[in-house]
Amino acid sequence: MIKTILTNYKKIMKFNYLFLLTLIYSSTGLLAQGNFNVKGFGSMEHNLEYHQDVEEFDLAWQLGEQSLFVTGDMGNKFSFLGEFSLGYRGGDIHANLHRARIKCNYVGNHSLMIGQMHTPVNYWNDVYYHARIFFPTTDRPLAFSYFIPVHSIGIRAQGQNLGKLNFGYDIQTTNSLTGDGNNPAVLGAFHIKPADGMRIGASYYYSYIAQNNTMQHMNHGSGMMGSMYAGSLDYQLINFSFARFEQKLEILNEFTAALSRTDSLGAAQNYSNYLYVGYNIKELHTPYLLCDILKSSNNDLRNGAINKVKFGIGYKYQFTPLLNMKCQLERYTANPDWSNPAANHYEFTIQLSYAIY
Amino acid sequence: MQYIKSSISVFVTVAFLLLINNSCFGQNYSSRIRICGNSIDEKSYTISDIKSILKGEKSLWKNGNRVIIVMRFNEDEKSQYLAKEIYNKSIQGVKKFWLGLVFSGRSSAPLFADSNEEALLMLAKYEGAIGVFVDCQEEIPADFKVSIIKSENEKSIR
Repeated sequence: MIKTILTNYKKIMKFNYLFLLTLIYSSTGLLAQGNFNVKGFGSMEHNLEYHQDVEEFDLAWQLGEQSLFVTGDMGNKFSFLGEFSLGYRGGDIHANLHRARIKCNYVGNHSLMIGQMHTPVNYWNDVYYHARIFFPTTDRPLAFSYFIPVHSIGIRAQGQNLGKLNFGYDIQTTNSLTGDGNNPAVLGAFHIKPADGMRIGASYYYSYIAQNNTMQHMNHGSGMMGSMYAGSLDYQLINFSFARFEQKLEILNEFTAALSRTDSLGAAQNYSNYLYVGYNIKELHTPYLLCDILKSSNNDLRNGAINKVKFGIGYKYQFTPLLNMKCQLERYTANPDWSNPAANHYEFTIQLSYAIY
Repeated sequence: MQYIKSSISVFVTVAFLLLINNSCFGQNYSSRIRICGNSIDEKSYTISDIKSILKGEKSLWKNGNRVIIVMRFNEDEKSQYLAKEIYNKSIQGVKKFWLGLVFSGRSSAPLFADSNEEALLMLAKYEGAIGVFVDCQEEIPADFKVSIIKSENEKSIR
């Protein structure tokens, strides 16, 4: 009885915390001096899964993340950006702080940022964040579940839209992949935008992990075997992104090479590649194809051996720029050694995503 | 004879002035679009510079003011014209463009006004504001006027 009351109390407190944040940030009376804005986005979806081995359908309604997005100016050169979300997982409500950073635009298009940010390792993580309304497909690439450090806490130097090629750079030092501040991770990323709607970029990320564990900045359904290996490892990520979003044709390719090295099993080379191709019909209708491949070596002690492939077809309908619907059918396959029996399956998702602006 | 000479000299002078006016003194962005600025760096820009600024690619003026974009923008024909001329997109396309840029945290949202009068008030309120008007009939203060140099050889602002 007491346990139930305590659980309910915690849930209410989480809601109250976010409600209070909303109230503070949206109160023009309290913050009349700054240009503060509160926006929001979220999603809801219905999934149908068919597992070949059990020959049964799983149906489920799911409420996606519901996020608040707060921006504010603190004079000409300083600004704040925050992103908070509520998600419903395993019967519990989870409140998360995704971004909270202060930016100093010290000269021209060059800035310094301090706080928690999305790690700009690739186009997806640098542009889409948690807003499903911008995702070209219903979910992130497979690499986000195993390789990509989604968030990082630290300091970043950023430049954007420099020169005729719209060159951009991000250089940052942050806590390690497991949140360890004594072994800072480093990142160097650059991109160019040679034409409207096109961006080509590459990045390098290094993190020394003193004790491998599941305390990481991923939090997106990672399948890593951190609990099995608690030793140290060197972790490197090399990414190449190509994005072209024209009025008709849309292409996004994300390539990731994740290299881990341990004293016991040596260097492990792991790869993933996500490809999305869509075609806009009168701006509102976008049929698309996707192919996502992920391979992790036998001697990789961070994630273990994985050989996963996802093919999908989908259709996006844009009701307004603030509301769209995606229908996606995909087939997952995995290698026979894969321990999860649910790995070989078909999935059909209808997702409604929206932004409150 | 004297009359013909005088006529020719007047004609040449007028033609010369017109030529100078077009090439040096600048003009509006187009026959319908006018660009204005409050405490921004220059009084004249090339079309590609203006497009770049209005796409959120410049965040701070050299004078230290933040770039604030002010647009008269809603669902009407004037906004459709603006969207096509500046962004080469539809009205929905422009909204989607800004939505993506703002949520990624790489640029601040423009100030959207329903009328030219409202946009002009916003422009006057914020130093560093650059405004884009379509079919503007209102009197624009001389300090706010920005002319467009239609020359591809003009040095880029970036």
